Amino acid sequence: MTNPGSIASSASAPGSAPRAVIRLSGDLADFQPLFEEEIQPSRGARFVTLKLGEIRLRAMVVVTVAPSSYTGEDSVDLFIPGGAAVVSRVVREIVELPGVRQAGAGEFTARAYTNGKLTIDQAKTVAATIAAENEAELAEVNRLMNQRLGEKAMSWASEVSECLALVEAGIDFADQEDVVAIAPKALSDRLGLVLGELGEHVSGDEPRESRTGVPRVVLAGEPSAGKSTLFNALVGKQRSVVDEAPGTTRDAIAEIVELPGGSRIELVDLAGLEEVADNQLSSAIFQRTAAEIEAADAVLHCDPNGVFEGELPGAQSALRVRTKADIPIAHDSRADVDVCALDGWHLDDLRSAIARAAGLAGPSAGGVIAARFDSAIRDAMVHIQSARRLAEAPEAQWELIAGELRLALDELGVISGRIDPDEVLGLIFQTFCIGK
Amino acid sequence: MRTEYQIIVIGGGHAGAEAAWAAANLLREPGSVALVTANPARIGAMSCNPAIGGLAKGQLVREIDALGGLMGLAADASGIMFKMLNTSRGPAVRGPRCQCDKEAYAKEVQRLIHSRPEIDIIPGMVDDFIIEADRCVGVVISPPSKKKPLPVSSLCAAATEMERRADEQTFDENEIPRELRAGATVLTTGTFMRGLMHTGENRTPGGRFGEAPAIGISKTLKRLGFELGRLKTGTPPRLDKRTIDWESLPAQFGDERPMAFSDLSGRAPDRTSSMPTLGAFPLLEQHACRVTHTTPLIHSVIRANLDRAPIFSGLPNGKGVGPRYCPSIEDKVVRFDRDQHTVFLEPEGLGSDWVYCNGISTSLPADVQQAIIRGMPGCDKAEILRLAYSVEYDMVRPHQIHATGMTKKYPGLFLAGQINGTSGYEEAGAQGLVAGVNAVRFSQDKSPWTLGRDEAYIGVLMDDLVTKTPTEPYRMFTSRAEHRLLLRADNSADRLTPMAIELGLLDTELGMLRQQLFQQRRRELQSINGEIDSRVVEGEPLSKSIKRPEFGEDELRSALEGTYEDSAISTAHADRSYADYVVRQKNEIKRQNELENRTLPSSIEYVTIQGLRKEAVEALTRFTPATFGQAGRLEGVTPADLSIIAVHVRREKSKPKSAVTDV
Repeated sequence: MTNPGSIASSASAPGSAPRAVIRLSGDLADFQPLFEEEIQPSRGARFVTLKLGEIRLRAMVVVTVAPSSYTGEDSVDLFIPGGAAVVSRVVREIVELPGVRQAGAGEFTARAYTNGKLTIDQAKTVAATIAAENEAELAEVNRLMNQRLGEKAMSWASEVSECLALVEAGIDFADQEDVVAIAPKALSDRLGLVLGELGEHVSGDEPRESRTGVPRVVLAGEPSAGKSTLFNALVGKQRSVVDEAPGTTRDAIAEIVELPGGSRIELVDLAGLEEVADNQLSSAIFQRTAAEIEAADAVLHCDPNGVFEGELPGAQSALRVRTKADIPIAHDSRADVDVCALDGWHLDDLRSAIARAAGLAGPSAGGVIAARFDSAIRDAMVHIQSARRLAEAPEAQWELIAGELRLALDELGVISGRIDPDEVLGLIFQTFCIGK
Repeated sequence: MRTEYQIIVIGGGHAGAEAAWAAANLLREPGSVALVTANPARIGAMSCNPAIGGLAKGQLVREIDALGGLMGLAADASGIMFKMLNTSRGPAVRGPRCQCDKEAYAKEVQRLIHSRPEIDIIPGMVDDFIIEADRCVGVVISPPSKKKPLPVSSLCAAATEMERRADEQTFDENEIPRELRAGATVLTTGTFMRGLMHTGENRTPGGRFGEAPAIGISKTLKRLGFELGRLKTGTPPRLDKRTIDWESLPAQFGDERPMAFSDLSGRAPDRTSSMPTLGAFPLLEQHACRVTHTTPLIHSVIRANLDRAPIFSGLPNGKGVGPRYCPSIEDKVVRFDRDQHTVFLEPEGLGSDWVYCNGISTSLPADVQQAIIRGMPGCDKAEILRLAYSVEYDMVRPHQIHATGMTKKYPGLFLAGQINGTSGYEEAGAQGLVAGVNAVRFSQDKSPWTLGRDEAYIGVLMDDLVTKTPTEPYRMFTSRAEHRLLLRADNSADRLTPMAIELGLLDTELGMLRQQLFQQRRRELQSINGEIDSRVVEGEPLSKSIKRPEFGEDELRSALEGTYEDSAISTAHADRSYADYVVRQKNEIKRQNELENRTLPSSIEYVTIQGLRKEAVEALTRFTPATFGQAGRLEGVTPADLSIIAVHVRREKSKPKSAVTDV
């Protein structure tokens, strides 16, 4: 096998934890540019300074060299402050180093295997573990796909493949009367538009994030749907005033909730905002409710009847929760989870479901996938930019332009699914009359 | 009568000829290769267009040549119009092409095959294989069919010189062995397996005009458990040149300085016994093609008769899918709103009156074809010598072969050419060479030989075949090759000749000549590169100037002190001007396909792997990829699936060890 290169990945649960671990494996020299100090094997942890563009970040490292590490390669465990933004920034910085890339699911374990670092006993459990990680990852991919990113990626990919088809037509079918190669200027313009759109979708230097740095999950539903009771049950202590009369809760209350796997969310109870209709502030309050729901990373749509009528404003990731599930209903519940907050029935299921809905499921999901998509878009942009530069040169070198567009398409394929060269050929055959 | 061979090749088309030739090159032992064909006089026949090469296809021919194959030699000896395509584009996407004298081409292939004492030509049809312990160890032969398919119409009863000679062949049935045994067998069936030809409503069983189909082999393959598919291809009408107003039509000329396909042509000493003509190139007088076109009137005739085109209206059960890149004229008229379509009139040979009508393949009936032809400028009195016809035929879906051409089910049985769902002489020849080499290696218990996607178009071709199921005849395009900048026509020898030497393909008289020329080329490239690295011209290092797009081959030639062969200058120039991109693209592709060459055990049972998605299990079980790279290119297999498999493979590998420790 050829040298597999160096890899990096966040090793702690996404979301916020006081401290995050980023694991690096491969060749120490590949990682060195990230550090101000020279990194070398040491007993225990040492303080170092990370170079993140202009920013300097203090961190702790444990450096182990081949073959005594987990993977059997040189490896660095990097301990940094646990904010999601910081973690994704550091991971991004690392995977942009030459020779380093984002680790695939289970790749550390796979390398440990390859290098003979795992025992037979450990081996027995690994396949199952990897499978679980993979499912979490797939769920996460699906979630991001649903969040319109997939759709967007499809439209970028199809625009890039159309451009590529026009370029390829001018190369592979230059001898065909019907084929008119695309003009360099027209190509550059089309690519410029794609670049603009891609640029809007990569995270800036400061990724957007909720106030506390953890995903914000909002309880929503009709008044008296049991939201405050559920809130208290999940938080584990009495915070909301619970009363049978509608509109008992007068303001939004937020609490940090720990979920399975150690990740954390901020749970928000809006019940008090849904004041009775004749209140003079109701319209302003309604707007604020809507804004809270829209800004949330996930919404728990509560309904004791299990019907879930009406659309929540902008809620892309709503989890349907039937509350008060101890009270029988006459029809089938349409809920994702049925819970009873009083006796705790299915509360653990709900916690796991929240973790999934907020993108926190499992060790390989969440920010890691988002970072991978982010780096795919960035790489695609780099290739499209090169293609554009080549198209604007005095003598367009079409085979080089095609090469760059192909690479851009492969990067977008990480999100949209792979576009096969045959599909590009298909576009050519649709556009031009080919066939001598 | 000899009945034991090292290698049996079935079929004498472009795949079969190349397979037998490669096997002979490796074995160099008289009577070691049996070439079984129903029609020995038609070995090397060009069934369709009178041309070799083109974009991507030209690269394939150059690669075949670099590996000691015969296609380039035959094309050079019979070319009547050579043209390098895409000269205004970069060197990576230029493709050599030539029009051939069809008869001269086949004659040259036959002469080359006959010149080899290793090859015995056996007239006959193969209906069955001898399978022992799931290995193919030989074939069962019946004498060539005497039945000829009836001509479709009196309009096309004319026959070419070569066809007439083929018809006059007689065989002594007692001279034909009933069974042959060999270490490996290469099957090339072309369009003959259950071939059915269509002209309008008229259907005639046959694999090529005037030749009977191969029926038994199709049944045998099915019985052996192969999954067959059905494809369709077509060939346009042939006109009588004497009835065309030839001089009135605009001409299309070849290059002023024709470029040969083979590194040997025109450069070798004249005295090699096996190639008496090598010293001269081009060998034949050069000719021009003519160009005409369809008209709006022709288009309305076609529209009015669409219901009489069986392929357009679709074959039953969606079978017999035609290629998208070679649509029939009725397809073009319906799908594209154009006033006219160009038709190239290509002479089929110097001494022949046959003219190939490139651009109007059709399954419309005779009277409509006549109307189309007579409507084209310069053709108002043109006589059709042969009607256009389409042919549908059986293929073996190529997920059932390895990238060596060997079937997964029956070691020792290799498939090459159209049987694997490809189209084109060049694609067939390339597969024949791969199968021929690997058949010999298999029979000698040597490791299989395959080419990477970054080494050759042949590698791309074989890899595509084993990771995709063709729904149309597969044709090579440069855009299929992600390493296109590396896979150029100019550097085929640099990429492949060292490999050919190592394989033992160049130990023949011709091969030694190739080796000699190649060493010479290497030395030239070395000194050119030395000059580029050391010379400073007008204050700028040459190594820097060469990367500017406007610094062409001519500029390089005049900047160099020494005098060198043009071909070496071209390669040095292309290598240098692409260098940065090649490195960058290589890294990117490597990063994307990290697991590319890691092998996957064939014993793997995907259905038992925990966590693998159903879709992935289905694709993997069907294709049984040989490497992680192949697996990753299957539709429905994600990178995550690959890592699950990687862990599984590792775990399985460590199992036997643990059993030993336990004891």
